[in-house]
Amino acid sequence: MAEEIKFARPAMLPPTLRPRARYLAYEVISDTKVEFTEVINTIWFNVIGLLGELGAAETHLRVIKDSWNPEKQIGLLRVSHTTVEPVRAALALASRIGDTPVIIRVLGVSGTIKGARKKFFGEVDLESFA
Amino acid sequence: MRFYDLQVFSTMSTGEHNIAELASMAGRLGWSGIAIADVYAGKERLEQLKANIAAVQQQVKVELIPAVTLRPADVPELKKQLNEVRHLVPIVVVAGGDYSINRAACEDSRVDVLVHPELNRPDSGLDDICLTAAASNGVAIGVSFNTVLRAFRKARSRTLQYIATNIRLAAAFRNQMVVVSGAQSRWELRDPRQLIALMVVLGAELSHAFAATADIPAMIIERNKKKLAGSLVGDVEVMDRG
Repeated sequence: MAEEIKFARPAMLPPTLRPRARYLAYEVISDTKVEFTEVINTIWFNVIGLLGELGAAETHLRVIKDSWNPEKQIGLLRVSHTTVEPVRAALALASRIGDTPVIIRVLGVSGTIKGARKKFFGEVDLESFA
Repeated sequence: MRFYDLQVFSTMSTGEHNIAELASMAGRLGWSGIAIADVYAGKERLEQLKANIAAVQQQVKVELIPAVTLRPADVPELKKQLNEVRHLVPIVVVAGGDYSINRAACEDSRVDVLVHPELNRPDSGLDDICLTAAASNGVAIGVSFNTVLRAFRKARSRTLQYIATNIRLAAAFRNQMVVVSGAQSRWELRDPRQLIALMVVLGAELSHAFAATADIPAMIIERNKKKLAGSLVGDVEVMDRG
């Protein structure tokens, strides 16, 4: 049985040296359901298409897999705090996933994953009941 | 904030979806109102469009505004069409591209918006003469998102370059700017905040970009509705006729 290779990671940087992130909640509007892998490819294709490879690198873009809700077709992206507007514009240029016409709409921006989930996905945690 | 899209095409001309489908999607994306700006093809067709809009308006929350897009072949045809439609609809959009049409539109105060002056051109389509005239005649310069969406690679790059030039020039000459989707189908509509983001990426200030989708379109609609109702003569609002 093949063992999963684990890489050693550098220690976490102090907060002042970490890149500041913003989390974009997005919704894929389409008539038929779309595959998440295709959503990732479409997002990257349009970000690189509008901003170029260098511009895409500056966005620090990550499509967060755990956040994808296949029923509602909503998910989260992590980007640098300075590149929210370019990424938002790039998502507007997505018009198709495969043969399916789509609109990728940004629901909003948050500073934390937890905040984005609460605000845009309607999730509640136990603290909310206190 | 109330957002208005001043150019959406329905099945009454070149569009793929009917007014109800467009209104439904626009409402979902956060628009307060959309102007159904089908290409002008005679007064009868325009009256039919207005009747359809009135019928659909009862079923949807999004405000539907009757409008026309003029695509004249030359300047005399533009003048003729303006004479025919100006007193019939609140919004008159002129599809630019040809320099003589761009300039004539900027010099005519009956025009509300000149969209995509850079279309199919090797330049941005506007010069200081056009922009000065547009500013004095209250003609807004329109950025059409559809021209960006439908272009690809080199053509899209050029289109973005010319739009960025027009945004810079419009700011310098204090022209009003609006962003329209120019949607030919409901899948070409976009969230107003994303159109604002595109304007910002192309060099517009955030406040100007917001105004281009909200304040300026709302002002044009309100002004022209008053004019059509006879309560605005020139720049003077008639408060009491007694």
